[in-house]
Amino acid sequence: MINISNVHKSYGKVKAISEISLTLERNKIIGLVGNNGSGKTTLMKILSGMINLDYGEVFINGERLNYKHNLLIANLIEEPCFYPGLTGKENLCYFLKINDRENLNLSKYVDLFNMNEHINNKYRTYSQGMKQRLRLIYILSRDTEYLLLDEPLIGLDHLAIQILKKELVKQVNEKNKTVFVVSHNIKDLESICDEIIFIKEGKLVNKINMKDIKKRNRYEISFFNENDVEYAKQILVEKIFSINKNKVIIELDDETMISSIIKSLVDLSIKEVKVVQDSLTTLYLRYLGDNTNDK
Amino acid sequence: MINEFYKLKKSHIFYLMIFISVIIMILFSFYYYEKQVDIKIYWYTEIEQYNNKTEVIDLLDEVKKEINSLNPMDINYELEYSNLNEVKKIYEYLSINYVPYNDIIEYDVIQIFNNNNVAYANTILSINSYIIFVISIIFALYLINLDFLYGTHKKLYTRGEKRTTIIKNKYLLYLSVIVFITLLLIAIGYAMGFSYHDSKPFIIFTGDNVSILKTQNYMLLDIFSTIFNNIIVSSIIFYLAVLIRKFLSSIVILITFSTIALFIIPMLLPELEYLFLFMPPMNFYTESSSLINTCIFIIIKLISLLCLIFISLFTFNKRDLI
Repeated sequence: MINISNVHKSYGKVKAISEISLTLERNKIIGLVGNNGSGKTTLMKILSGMINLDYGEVFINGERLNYKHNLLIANLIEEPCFYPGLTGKENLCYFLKINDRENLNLSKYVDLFNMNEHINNKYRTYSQGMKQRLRLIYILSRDTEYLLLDEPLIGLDHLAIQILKKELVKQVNEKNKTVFVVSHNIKDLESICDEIIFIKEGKLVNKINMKDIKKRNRYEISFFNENDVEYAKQILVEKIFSINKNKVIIELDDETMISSIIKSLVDLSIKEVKVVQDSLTTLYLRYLGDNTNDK
Repeated sequence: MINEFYKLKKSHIFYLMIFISVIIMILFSFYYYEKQVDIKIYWYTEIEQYNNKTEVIDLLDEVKKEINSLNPMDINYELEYSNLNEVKKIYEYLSINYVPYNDIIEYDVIQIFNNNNVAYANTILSINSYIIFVISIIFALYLINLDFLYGTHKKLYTRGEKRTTIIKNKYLLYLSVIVFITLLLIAIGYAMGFSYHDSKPFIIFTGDNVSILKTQNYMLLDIFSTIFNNIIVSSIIFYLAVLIRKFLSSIVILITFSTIALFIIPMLLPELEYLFLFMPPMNFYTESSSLINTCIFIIIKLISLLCLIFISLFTFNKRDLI
């Protein structure tokens, strides 16, 4: 388990993250979502020991974060980085060796990411997609307890994305790993994550459980005419979760109820509405787009 | 260190560095051989030829007479007295500890070109400092700064070891390679020296006291002096590279440092010539340097290195890997 407590980090005068406190439970895929420059990568770098904290504390499995934890954490952060003069295999062997890891799983992951043909070529000859696949092979071969993945899908083709998603789920379910993943691809995160953390301007906005989203049947009703919100309140009153200008979020006990609500709105002569079921995309826009005031 | 060596083995730079330094050393040896043949007519010694101990005693008497005959009012009196006194001391030493004439050479004479293999090897070794400077810079850039250029530092320094331990392992490999190349260059220097010139097994050192040193002992001092200088200089270069980290900044700073150490200091401050260059052993017996200067150079080098190691490692540990 990773405990982050009141963590701050600045680059000169620029505050990258501040007052972040959260707990990352084990055996889960946790997504970190935020706009550009919101501090996602900084948080990943802190966990991987690449940068030092200004203040705050990080505990991994109950122990304060130190260099020894790098044996438990594999990170894939920012641009691909291997030696261009060595082959893919030589690079993997070297980096596994310095991490005291045997090459036992190497061929398995080379097969999985379809890199057999290229693994003995010099790294400098690789395309962007191959470089990314090599990084993923390295990360998975390290067989660590925690995987920190910053934009792991960049450069991957559709097939490789599906393979990776399936493998990450397998790593969590079968090998009890914990995966912490940053991605701008909301749909992909939605399909694999157990939890999502929203981060904005260096601060934690919310942490939600994906099962809850699917369970709670929340809908966002956008009224084109702001005056219609007042009329709608009459029939939505007990179901309203939050109101923000022309947007009303309702929570239903049963998803079949939405059709009767729409019908009631039409009966009130409210015809221009947009109804969207809560998803990660709507939550993203809600938390990280306009300012909202949840009840 | 073994892991670092694994990577180095796969790289061409290691073999290229050795090949180029050997070629330079051999070319330099040939160049100085030719040069030496041209100027050997200037070779001289202050000791006159003798065949046995009795002749040494005779020569000693003659020198004593010469000293007595010197006129204190003469303008060159002090210089002549000093030279004759030195020769007198040598004869006195030889009259007690007899060594055949063909087996000795004065240390002063070693410092100039003459028909002696140790002197020749010593001259060749002076290029050693320059070669090691260049190799140290290339190798430090390769071991430390290239990772910051490729971005591989993020993997290297985020593993289950302290950053200082990783640097220490790199440093050990670095020093091993530098010492290996230094020994190789010394071996070439001496091989060339011994293949071209006659050997005199003993060397007489003159100074306040006369002492005698076997050639092989002088060679050991020569080797030790070269290795010591090269270790200090290359260590300074290595820790400068650790301190700077970035590839391009490192190239600029290390080249500036080398230019100052190898060219500007010897040109503008000749008395500090040996601060970063190879210093022939027992050099303090000659006029160009004193024992105190030699000690001061060694202390300055060691203190600078220790300060640099402390600052470099402290800074390297504190800075973010971005």
